[in-house]
Amino acid sequence: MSSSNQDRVRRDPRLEWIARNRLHPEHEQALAALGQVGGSALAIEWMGPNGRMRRNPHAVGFIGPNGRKRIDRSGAQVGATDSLRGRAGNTAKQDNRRQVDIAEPDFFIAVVPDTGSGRLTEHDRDLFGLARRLADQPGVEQGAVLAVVFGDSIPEGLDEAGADRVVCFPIASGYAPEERLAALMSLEAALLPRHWMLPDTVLGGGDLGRRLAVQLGERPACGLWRVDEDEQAATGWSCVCRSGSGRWDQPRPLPRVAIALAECAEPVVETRHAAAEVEGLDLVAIQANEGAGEVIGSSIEDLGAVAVDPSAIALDEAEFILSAGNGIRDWEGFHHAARVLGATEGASRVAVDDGFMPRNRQVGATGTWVSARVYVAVGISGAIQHLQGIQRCDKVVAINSDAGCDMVKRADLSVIGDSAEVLQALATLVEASRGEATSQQQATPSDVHALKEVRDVA
Amino acid sequence: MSLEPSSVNSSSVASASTQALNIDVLVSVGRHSLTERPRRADLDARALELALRLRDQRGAQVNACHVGEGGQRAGSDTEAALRDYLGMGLEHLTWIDAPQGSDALGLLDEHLRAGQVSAGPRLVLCGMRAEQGEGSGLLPFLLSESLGWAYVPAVVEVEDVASEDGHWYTTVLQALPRGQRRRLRVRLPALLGIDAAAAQPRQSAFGPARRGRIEQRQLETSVIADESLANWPLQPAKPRPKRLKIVTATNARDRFKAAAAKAESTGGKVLQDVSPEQGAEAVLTLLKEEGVLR
Amino acid sequence: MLNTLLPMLLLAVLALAVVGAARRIALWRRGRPSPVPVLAGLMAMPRRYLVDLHHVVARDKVFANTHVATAGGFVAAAALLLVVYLVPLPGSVETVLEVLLLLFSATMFVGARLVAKRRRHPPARLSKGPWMRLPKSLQAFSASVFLIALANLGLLPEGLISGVMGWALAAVLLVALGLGLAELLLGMTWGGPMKHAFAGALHLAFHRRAERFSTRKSDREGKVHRSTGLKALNLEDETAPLGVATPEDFTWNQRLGFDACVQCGRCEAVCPAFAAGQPLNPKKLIQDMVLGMTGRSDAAYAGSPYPGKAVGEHQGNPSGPIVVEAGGALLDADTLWSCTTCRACVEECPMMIEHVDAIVDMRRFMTLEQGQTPGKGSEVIDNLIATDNPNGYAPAARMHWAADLSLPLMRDLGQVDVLLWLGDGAFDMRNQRTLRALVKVLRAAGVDFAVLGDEERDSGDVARRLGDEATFQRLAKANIATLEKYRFQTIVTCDPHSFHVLSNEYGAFGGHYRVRHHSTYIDELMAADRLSLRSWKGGSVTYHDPCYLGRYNGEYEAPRRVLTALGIELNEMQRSGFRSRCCGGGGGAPITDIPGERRIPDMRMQDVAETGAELVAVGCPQCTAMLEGVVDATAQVRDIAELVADALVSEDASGKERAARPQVVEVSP
Repeated sequence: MSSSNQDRVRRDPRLEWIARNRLHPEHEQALAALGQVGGSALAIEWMGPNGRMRRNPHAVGFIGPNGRKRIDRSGAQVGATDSLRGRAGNTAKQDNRRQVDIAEPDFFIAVVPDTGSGRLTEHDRDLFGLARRLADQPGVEQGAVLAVVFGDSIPEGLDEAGADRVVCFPIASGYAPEERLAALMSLEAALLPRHWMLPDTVLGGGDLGRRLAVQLGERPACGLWRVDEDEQAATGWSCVCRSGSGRWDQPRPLPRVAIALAECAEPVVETRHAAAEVEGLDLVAIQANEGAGEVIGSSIEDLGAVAVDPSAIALDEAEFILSAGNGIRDWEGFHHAARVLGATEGASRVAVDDGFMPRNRQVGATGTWVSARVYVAVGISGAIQHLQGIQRCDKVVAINSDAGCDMVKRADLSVIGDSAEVLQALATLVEASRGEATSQQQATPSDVHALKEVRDVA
Repeated sequence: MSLEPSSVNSSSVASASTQALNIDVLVSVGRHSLTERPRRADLDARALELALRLRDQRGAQVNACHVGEGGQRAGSDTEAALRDYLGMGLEHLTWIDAPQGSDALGLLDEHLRAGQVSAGPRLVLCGMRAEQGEGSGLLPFLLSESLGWAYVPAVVEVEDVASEDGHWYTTVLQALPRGQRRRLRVRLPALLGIDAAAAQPRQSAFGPARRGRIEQRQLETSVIADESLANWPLQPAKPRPKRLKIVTATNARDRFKAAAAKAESTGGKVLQDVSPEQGAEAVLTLLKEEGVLR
Repeated sequence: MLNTLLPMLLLAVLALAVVGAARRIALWRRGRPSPVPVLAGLMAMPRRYLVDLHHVVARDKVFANTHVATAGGFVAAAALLLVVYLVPLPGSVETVLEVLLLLFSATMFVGARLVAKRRRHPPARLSKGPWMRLPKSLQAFSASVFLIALANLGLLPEGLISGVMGWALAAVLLVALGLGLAELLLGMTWGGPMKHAFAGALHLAFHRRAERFSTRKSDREGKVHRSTGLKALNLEDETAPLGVATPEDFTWNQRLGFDACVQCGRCEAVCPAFAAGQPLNPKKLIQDMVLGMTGRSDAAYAGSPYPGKAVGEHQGNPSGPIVVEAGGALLDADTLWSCTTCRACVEECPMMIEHVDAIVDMRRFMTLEQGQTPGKGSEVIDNLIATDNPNGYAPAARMHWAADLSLPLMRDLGQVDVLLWLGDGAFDMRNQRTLRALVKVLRAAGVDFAVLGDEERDSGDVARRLGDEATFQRLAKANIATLEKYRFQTIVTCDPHSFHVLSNEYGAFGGHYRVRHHSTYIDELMAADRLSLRSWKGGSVTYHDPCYLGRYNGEYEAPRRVLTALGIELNEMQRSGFRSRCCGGGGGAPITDIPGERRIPDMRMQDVAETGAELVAVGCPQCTAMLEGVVDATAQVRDIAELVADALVSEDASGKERAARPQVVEVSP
């Protein structure tokens, strides 16, 4: 990927001239055009003729409550202007990344990211950061970071994550550890990476990495969270591994296979890398040669995802919980909303005590501690035990008639009003939006059905 | 967990009962996270629970075994933990003697191979990682390699064991994040690593725990020291540093702001005096942003 | 003719009754052995009956008198009947006895009429079925005996006793007497309502807790006769059974006790679980135990069922399991786990049956042998095993609540007057307020006290009530070993559960202590004038008796004295003192959490609301937690220690006042 075209500055001298002349009737439009801001809004920043950033001090600030213009430099006031600038600044930041190209690497550091749902995860980025440290160690040699991905397409953002080279094996998603292992072994034979780095996730890198290490006869560094330069070690690096229980650390020289925890290193932020596909590797041929003969043979067959009823998911595993409390009068409406939203149902102690919900649905210190990404508390005032139980939730939404209750204080978003009506409206909205997207919506369930049918036939 | 009706069809049960399913459960000594008192390891207990359910439902043969330091047995921590497993309803448990710091791999390999005499289907269940020591979760992978059996991690349920074309297969459910499940068909013999999302282990009762027999076993395999532990001893874990917010601002003001700003105040947005529709709209937006709406 | 047939009838009935008695005794003896002093027991029986049992019966004055008339009349009449007709006596003596017979049978008849009257509209707690026939049998017996005595005395008109009329009358009298005797004498030993008299008398004689009964000596010494601690299991012997699995696993005198039940339903009327619609009825439980001995179905049971469980679906088996996971056996597990061990049933039982012992015995088997403690029970037990507290907190965090109080530790002092036992409430934020208040009071009174700190463990109360005797004994022995290291005079605790266990249940393991509940101790401090208190200025107050303080330990007065001393006029609830209704927090009930139609604490707060009190004073962390958990409660829940601490006139403040005044006096002249 070449970025030179993107970086070239195209100038319009006439426009710049108008922009400099504050009395010109088209002055503001010119400023806007230069600042790449659409519409009539004033441009705040634009690139000057020499490629320098220029700023219009008149466009900064906002009109205060008493009609006077205010400039707030604390950053506390987030107005329309700020968000505009934020967007502009973002593009500027991306442009500020330094392009790094490594033409002739001395060695490879292979990274096998999880690429959950086609995107790099934060964990993956940390891992690339670690790989970059190993590849860019000041010294005689210059390594390249090789991203190894599986699937039909190469995920976005590998260049910014820090990959110099990419290898993509067209292995479908799903659980196929033996196939993937064979692919990695073929790459091992072809490129002999100095290190293999994988994220320590249960079904992703953690699984594949251990299989790879066993094949390579290596004792992998599992649960690795820290890497230091170490002249004593054979590889020049030492690392610290966390034990499975989290109670022990094991310092050791960095082995060839490293299976690392999240935040094992800082992700790459300042540079952009080539992320070029490795040429001259006939992967299909390699795969065919290395084949399944060496590994155990395909003894694991993925029969596909199982349709899990959200209401049957254990509370502590659920990612989206709709929880009912004392304020619920319309239980039918609540259950309906949970069904429509596809949320797992939870309840406060009172709702359970009153017999509206089963005991295993109770959230709180005396029930289940939950860690949902979104927790919607309907008619729950927020007793201390309940708030303790939801402290690991990411986003809390309160729907409550009492604006002064503790749950509203805790919530990221609170809707004050009759819970039954809000739930009803929410269910209607979701149903409406489903109706629009019927064609797309049908894709997933039918897949599941198809799989089921395949299974039944088998 | 009620998934779709599982496919335990009668023919497979019948065929399974003709040749009893043989299950080995590998158990280790766990420690309570606060008091470090010995007890059954949670994941291993879940593995045993799964095995005991298969025993109750389809008459599987369940053998549990532990590899660990022998020596003073009565009253030792190891014994206390093993009795916890016995208390779940096992009559006996094999304790394979291994000096401290030795590698369990060879011993387990020999033990499991020795048990292979039965012609029926064979499963080995274990927790995905130990609670003590390195706990890297590598052992089942090594064992799978040395035995030449498949290994499947993160299993939460064994749905079925059936034979087809002269081979035995098991259908298992594997835990994906956030309560999702995936169904796999695995050729036996196989090792299954049990996930924390598997069924809660049953209560360990005092009576059976006291009565259960612990059978010592000395194996002929020469014991190899665990090199990893010998060369790189464990240290008490240090708290990991909290990651600082990465500041990539290009100008002084943004950098200053990032450095000086307090943690983002989480004062939530409160929508008062809005119509239910407006409120619902706001909630829906948040749900979509978080991507929890499927 | 009467004079020839009657002795034969009496002898036949007596002989049959003896056979029945032998069979019944053999049935009881199929239980586990339990050595009792046979002669001493039989000797003590009349006193136990007349004093202790009557003490309970007399709570219902009207029925007590009815029972005295009926039972007294029957015993005397039956004895006289036997003497008169089976023993050859001189004529004059016989006449006197006949007159007495006349009197007693008349008394009995009056009693029987009263019984019949009560049975006309029987309260729900009474069993129906054969019990409805009992008043008729009583009347038949007493009337026929009365007429026979009249006839023998020659007081009946001539026309009635001669000729055909005489034959007819004799036949009618014999049949009536026969029916009466069958019910009253045969029924005693062959099973029937009157079984309670025979089994009850022996039950009193061979009771498993002889220390429950008063003796002349104990009365003279003014000692309390109470026995509420659970009996320890023998865990040293690996072959000793762990709890009760089958009806035959009960000790023989427990089985005897079950047979003593009169199905009066007083237990049912006071049982909090029954009132809450949980599947427990103490009366039915005891009746099921009786059925278990013979292996019959409960279809013939004629009282209130377990709420939510139909009668006739359960079947006993004399040597089969009492509880089967699939159900349908003698009991369902949730019946056993509904009990809060509040002892209200035991307290009310006129036959001195020990319901709680039986329930805990059966729970022990479920926990120790089957590992089937329901709800969060297994988690709590695991926590107790691993962390010595039921909620799995770090043991080292036990004193975190008192970080700013710099409480003296036993470890540092070694010897103090008062050892303050904190209990597991030390981990609970609500109870920490109570503990702080208690510490403030102790300091204000200048008490020399210390705490065990991290060395303290859970007393083992919950583990034991959940049936985990092994964990209880481990905790008990560990605590006793800790306490042995130090010297103190009294243990003071604000947790009645710890109080009960420390004072009544540690004795079996060699731990004998002088333990005081904090209300008792504060009462002693007040009596010694060591606290200066402001008078109460709040609204109306009521007091909730914790079960483990009141019924288990008989302390009803001290908390009331403390509250009165604060200037509070107590607004008593209808159910208070020994009849206090449980808060629902005992016996691990909140942990096993068996669903019912209502919640016990809600009912208790309703009791509070009926008094109109704005505040309910409590003396137990469990009660505080349960009652405070009631939504939309009308009254505030405060511990006695908090009320006392609030009323304290701080020493410093008054000292300053005193110091300030003289200065003013000096300056002013």
